[in-house]
Amino acid sequence: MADTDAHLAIQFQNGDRKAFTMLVARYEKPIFNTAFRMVKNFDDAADITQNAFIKAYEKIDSFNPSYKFFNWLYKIAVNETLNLINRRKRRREFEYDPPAHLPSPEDDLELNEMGHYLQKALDCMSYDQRIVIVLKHLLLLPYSEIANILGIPEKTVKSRLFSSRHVLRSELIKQGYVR
Amino acid sequence: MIKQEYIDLMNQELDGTNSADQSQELELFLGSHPEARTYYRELAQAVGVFEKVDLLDPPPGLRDSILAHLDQQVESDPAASLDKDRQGLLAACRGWFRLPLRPAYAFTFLAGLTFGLMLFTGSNWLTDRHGTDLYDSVRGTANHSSWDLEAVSEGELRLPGIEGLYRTMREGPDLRLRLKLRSNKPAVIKFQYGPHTTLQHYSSSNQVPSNLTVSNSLVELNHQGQGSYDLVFHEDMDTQAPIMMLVFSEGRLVKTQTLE
Repeated sequence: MADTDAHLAIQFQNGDRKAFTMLVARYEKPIFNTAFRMVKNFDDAADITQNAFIKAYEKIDSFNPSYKFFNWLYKIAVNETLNLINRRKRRREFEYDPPAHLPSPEDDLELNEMGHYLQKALDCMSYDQRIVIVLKHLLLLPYSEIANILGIPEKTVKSRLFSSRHVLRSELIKQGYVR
Repeated sequence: MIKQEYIDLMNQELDGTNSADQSQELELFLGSHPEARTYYRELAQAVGVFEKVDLLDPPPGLRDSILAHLDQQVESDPAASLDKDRQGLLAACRGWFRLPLRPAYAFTFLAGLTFGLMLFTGSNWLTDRHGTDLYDSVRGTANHSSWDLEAVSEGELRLPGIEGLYRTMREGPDLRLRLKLRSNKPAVIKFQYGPHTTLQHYSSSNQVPSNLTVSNSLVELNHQGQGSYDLVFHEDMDTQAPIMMLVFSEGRLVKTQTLE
């Protein structure tokens, strides 16, 4: 029990700040990576990660320890990601700013060759397809948990996942990785 | 063209969610359809990319930045700043209900039952004794002698949508609170307290009927308009544990105040 998420969450609800620090250490990396694959920008992914933890901190009293903590946290992170993507869209609709999602040289350096293949393929997917495939294959979550995080039926998760894999396959064929 | 049902079976096979029959059906199908076999191989290869991609390390200092931000927030945001005071109290409450001993539950149940009976049978008595003439202002014009003890603390509430005054005083194991509020929108005042504390008395001189609910270690007062309230919290252990007053306006926490 000592180090389970639920135990740490309860400890934090009871005022133990160290428990929250441990949760940050545990989930900082997966959340950052999910965000990065969604927004393709190192700084934005860091902002999403930070905002997700701040929201979790503020709302910790609403967390029910009988549910999985990471599902709850990922749900917050996914909402933060969607908010950022929507903000970008609105900005592009009303302003003539260059698209904010262009990867910086720093972002390029962070990705190895395989990472580039993958990112290019992800770019060809809709948001709905991308988030499902990232949660499934990057975070290795089962259908049921993805459904819970995204608030959609499992059947929809499957159909989005299968269509996103089809896009992934087609794009990787185009890039010459899949033959 | 491959039928969708076989594409679904291929995907499920990759996820390991096919039944034995489904796997066998797929195998038979792939054995007799070379184009489907190619599609399945390509799909598996594509999905395999994820296994070859390493997770990126977050920027150095991100964790420190998150924790520093939270520290800053606790200092500047009243909603967050309730933590330190409140958490101890909540921990005590939660600890109480996690006790494996049944007497903890029995005691709380009996305390609740007693209070409920008091409210039910004694509501008239409470109103008569501390009714609408209780005081006109907590600023000192009250003429009810039993309440004219020296206040331990008092303060003003000047918040969006709600303003008022409060005064508390300690009298042995009792914490007495007078609260005068004026709001143009519905407001909720919550009082959180420890397991050894109970609400012993409540009366209101509000023009608009207010709604009071009492649950374990929490009193919730729904207020609108102008009015004043008297509450007495009694503590069995006489440890003078603080009570947290949380003021919500339009569903948003706008003020936390420790009452001592």
